[in-house]
Amino acid sequence: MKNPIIAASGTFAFGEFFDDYFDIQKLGGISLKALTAGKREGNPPPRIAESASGILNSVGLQNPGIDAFLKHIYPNLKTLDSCIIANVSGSTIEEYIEVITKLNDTDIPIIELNISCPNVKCGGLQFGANEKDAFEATKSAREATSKKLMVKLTPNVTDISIIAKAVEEAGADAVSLVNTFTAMAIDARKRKPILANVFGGLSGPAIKPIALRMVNQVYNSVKIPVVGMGGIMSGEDAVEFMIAGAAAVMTGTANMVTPTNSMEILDEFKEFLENEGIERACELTGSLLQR
Amino acid sequence: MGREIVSKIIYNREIAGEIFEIRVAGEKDLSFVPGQFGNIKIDSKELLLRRPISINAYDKKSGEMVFLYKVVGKGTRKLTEAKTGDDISILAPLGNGFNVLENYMNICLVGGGIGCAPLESIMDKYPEKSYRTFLGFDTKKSIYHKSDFERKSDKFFITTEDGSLGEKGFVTEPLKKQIETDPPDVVYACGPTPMLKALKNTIYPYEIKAFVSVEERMGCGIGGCAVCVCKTTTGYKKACVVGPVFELDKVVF
Repeated sequence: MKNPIIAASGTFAFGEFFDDYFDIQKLGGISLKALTAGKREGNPPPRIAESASGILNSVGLQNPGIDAFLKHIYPNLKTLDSCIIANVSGSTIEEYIEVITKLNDTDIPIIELNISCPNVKCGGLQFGANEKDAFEATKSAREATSKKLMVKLTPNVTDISIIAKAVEEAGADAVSLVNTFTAMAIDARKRKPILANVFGGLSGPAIKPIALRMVNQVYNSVKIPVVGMGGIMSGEDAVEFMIAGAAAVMTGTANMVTPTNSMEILDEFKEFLENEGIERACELTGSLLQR
Repeated sequence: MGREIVSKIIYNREIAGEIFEIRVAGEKDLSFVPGQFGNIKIDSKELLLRRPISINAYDKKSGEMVFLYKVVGKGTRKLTEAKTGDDISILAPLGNGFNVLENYMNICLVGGGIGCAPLESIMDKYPEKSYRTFLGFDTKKSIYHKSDFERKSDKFFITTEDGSLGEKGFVTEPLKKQIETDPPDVVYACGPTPMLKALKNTIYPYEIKAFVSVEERMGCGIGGCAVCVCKTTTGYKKACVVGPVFELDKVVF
């Protein structure tokens, strides 16, 4: 990758809208909107709520499905000089395998296995919530592809390092964390939940301290690279995640605030390295000192 | 096509009950379609999301943009504190806007509350067309730009729910009387969902083409996150890129 800043899945569509605002090829990578076997309509609106320094979303994996992606979207993506990551979601292992098998015919180098989406009623949360299912899903995915397999972990668990170890054992090449935290927002006057789905996933600066802690815990539990995310809004935030153990980071909510934010975060990141006299970004990974 | 416009606030003032008008220096020579909106950054560390507000007026030569907004929550409340001379970041112009065809000469505009605001930009861009304007408000205190709308219309109708000004009741009443005898080429509307539902029922027997600007909670505003979908007869559509203007027939309420 050109640099460690990657656009997170679900916040960047398939890159097409952001291309109007900046050259998306400058980013280290782009994780595409989750793909499922069939087309998914997603959840009814409202799908977003605001919270202090955060947002809740319950999009529900709306996507055109793998076939439509390959036919209409992938041909344009192919021409990009970008490291593309295909985020794969599903309600069953069979569904994951179907999508992965079809992606094998593409040049997309990395598959991000989404075992952690908290919005889908069946499937998603279950896989990542316990080590057995996380292991099974990862193992099946591993057997289905020789591409790089990165497993995206859900933080809605008691001990995320146990899950990380399980997916490492199952053959994951890397892990990405954290996905969103299951959360709720309520309209006090109407006495109704703001999200149509009632619960949604919390992201943004509000979750950063917890995400940092989890990245650090996982880094200390596995040998495979860790991609960290959770409220990164600045270059310095990105540096903190790398110090905690991340080899690369993803920016999600930041993209929803201003389209050029991930570019600015990259510029700030580079400026930090320069000012601190750090020659290579990878020097930061896991460089946390003892107190 | 939208871009981030950072410009100075020229003024930001209350023009009706909890309705504010903000004029910004903007940017020259943008290709603006009436019905497009701006996603406005709120000066707050805590409130991350931009607020999507329809563009009420845009002057290509000076670049100045006007937004009318209602205070409905924390973000719009905070926006009222923005002062003349402050910098403000707006992603604009966003969305599809109203597609005003050349042969649409006899137009009915139907607005409810703060929804009247984008309709004014249609009249400004196409002053040569004939407008019958129907504006509905809850009460007299909520009325804004009345003389502007009246001046730009061939026929002007105003209703208030409490009867404090104009005809008492809803905007669909005078509209029905007009279209019974003189159907328009098209209806453009913007307002609360109950008004849009009532509009659909009112014009249904007359088979008149109608386009409405819908409101959905938004995220990025540019198509990247898929939170702002509107339910249509062909599935969920992103209100920020496929909309916010949809054909009324296709919107599922």
